[in-house]
Amino acid sequence: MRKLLIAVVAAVLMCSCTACGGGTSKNTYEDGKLVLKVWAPDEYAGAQVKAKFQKWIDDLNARPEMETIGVKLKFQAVQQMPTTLNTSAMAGNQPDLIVWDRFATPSNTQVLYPLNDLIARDGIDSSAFMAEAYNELTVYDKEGNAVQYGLPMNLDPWGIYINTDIVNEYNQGKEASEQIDVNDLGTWTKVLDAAKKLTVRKGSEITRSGLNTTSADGQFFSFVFTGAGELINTDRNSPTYGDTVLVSDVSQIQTDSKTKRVYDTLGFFQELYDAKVCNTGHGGEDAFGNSLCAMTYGSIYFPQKIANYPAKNYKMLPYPARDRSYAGKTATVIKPNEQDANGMLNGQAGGMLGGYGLAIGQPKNKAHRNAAWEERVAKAWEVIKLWTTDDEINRLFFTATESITARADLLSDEYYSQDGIMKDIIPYLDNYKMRPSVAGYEQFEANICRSEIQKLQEGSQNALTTLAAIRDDGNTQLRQAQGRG
Amino acid sequence: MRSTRYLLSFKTRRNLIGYLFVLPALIFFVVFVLLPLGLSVYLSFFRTDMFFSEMEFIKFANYTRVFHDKLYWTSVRNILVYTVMAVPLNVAFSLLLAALVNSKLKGVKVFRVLYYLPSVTSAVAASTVWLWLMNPGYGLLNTMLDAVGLPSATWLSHSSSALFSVTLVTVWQGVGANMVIFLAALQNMPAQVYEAARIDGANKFTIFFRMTLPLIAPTMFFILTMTLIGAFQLYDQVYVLTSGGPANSTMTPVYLIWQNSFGTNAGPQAGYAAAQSFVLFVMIMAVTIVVRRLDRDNTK
Repeated sequence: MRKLLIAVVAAVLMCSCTACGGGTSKNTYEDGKLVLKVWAPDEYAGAQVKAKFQKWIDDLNARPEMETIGVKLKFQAVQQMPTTLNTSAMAGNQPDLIVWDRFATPSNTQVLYPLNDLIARDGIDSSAFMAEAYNELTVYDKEGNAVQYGLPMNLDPWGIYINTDIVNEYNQGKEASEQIDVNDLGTWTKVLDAAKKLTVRKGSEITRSGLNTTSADGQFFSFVFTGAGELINTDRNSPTYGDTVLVSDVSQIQTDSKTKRVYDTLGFFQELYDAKVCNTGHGGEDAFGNSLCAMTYGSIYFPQKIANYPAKNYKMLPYPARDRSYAGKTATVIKPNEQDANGMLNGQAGGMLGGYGLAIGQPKNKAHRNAAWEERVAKAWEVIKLWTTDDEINRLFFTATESITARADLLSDEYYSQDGIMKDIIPYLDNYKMRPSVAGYEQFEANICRSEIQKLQEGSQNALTTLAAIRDDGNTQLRQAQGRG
Repeated sequence: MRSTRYLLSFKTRRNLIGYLFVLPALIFFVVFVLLPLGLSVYLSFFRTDMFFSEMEFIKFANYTRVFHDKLYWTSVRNILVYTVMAVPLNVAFSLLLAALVNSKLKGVKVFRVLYYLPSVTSAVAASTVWLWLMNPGYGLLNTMLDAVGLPSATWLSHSSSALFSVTLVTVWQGVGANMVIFLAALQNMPAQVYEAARIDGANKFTIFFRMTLPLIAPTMFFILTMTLIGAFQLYDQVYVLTSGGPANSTMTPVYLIWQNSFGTNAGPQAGYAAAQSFVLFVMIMAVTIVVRRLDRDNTK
């Protein structure tokens, strides 16, 4: 029956997209070189980045090393990558080389080729890569073996962007103690204070927002992590692996370090919402690009997105360190660099680390895993090695695409000392963390965390109720998604 | 003698030719509708991912989960509220527009085309435009409200108004197609009946409510059925406008099913999504049967 299911789905897919054809048994060659299909998700290679990425592919194709490998890369940006990849892999028309959103790895191992044997055979040094990025491409099988599905390509740290022109305008004529120092916004308190100062009102209407709080719910993980906390138990040896870290006993919220940090994050969000520093229409990049919002959240690619907007002078900050502790709505200022009673660091500036890896596509149907595909796999691996482990080629890549390499040992490259945004954020990269690699995390974040925080934002519940809902509904959602419920 | 010359009787041969004519459509229906539907029901008894990689038979566990899934029932409640708002608005506006453009006035064809245009526009493209129009900070709608001295609306950014805002967009986009169907029904009305009514002294109001409406009732029920089914399957506009938020206030069953089937890191939830789909299918079927019954009673 399972084979019938797969056969029917594959037949329907093949019939419905005749352009896809079917698993090919013959490879395509151009100028005597094997053609490899490269796919990148549209959100990565969109607009500004796409042109740079295409140029990088062209440059790479022109390299003598590629002549030696005997391949030519053909790049295509695709929308809805996991879905598109899955359907193409069903019909055996998957890409050979994939610019892969690392976060999506755990649910897509069926269509990604495992690299363990190749990594071992060629002696790839995993310590050369940023550990968080490398580990995000690792998935543990049922026996607990680590399977590597790609090598990390770049790092995409998120942070807060602040319009320095607005800050300078605010600082004019102010006492030094009243001014905002953009180089000293490293704590929750300082960002909250700056947000209040930079908010401009006309009557009751906010004409310029101090800080974008409309999408703060989407930054929940990053803010929890600025208290050195976490949301999900990722200890594989724990009986509650995959659950939220939150305790159910209300009396323990103030004493359990991990729960306390999540609670404080909710308390901080409530304080931000109560401060009313944001017009609900000032959430997107348009508002920041048009100087209607002084501070907003964005990835390292944010400057490329707003390149055509009037706002030109801004700075990227890591998410500020937790320095506020809450009991109800009352906040107490604490020192970030100190530890709590359980020996856990109070706070650290950092945030969420996204980014992409390079992976190899694998057909779902074993009948499509023929000699032609094996040849493409072998060549694709040679390209990945060249791209990620050859210092000179990797440097060409990150300068051409203006990105932060996942190679930890190349982060001290001179190139990064020239770019203001990247130069400012690279020193904090050790404090950045990937989102938990557990099944159902995305739905947990979108449907539980964000939804409950939006209720907090609308004032229909308080931080404590929000915490309880995230814990109870979150655990149910996570367990069911992981097949434990 | 004939029966000895032909293997099959004339009637059988005639039927066979008829079957051959419907065969392509039948194959299409079986392959793309019946078979996926059956396999979806089969899949709903398993815990598996979208590749059916490890299929674990779990009997009715997915259905038990559906009935205990708060979010699923929130989405069902949302879609019921949406249906109550969207379907009457859609039917009423499309009938009104059809009545307005059912005239021989000069230039009326231009209006027919204009009203129909949203229906042929991609839902994603149209919704993206509406996203801009409804921006609470600098969207056109709030700018217009501001210009006439009215307070700004929250549109899509607050759970109290988001579903209504989505309804506005879908009604705007849906009325054109229904208007065309109503128009066809209105233009097929026998002229002599109206003429007789006017001779008997009936005014326009009486004619519309006492004659036109009863006469186009079959069309009305057809539109009602199709609009109801469409309402239960709301997805595109929600995907673009709100992603189910704020606070899950616009979460719909189909959006949830999509998340569980194809969402990033969805995990082994394809079977569960199939169970959710089947429960939705049963609900739509039940509503359709009720409407059909009403239609039957009405035509008796």
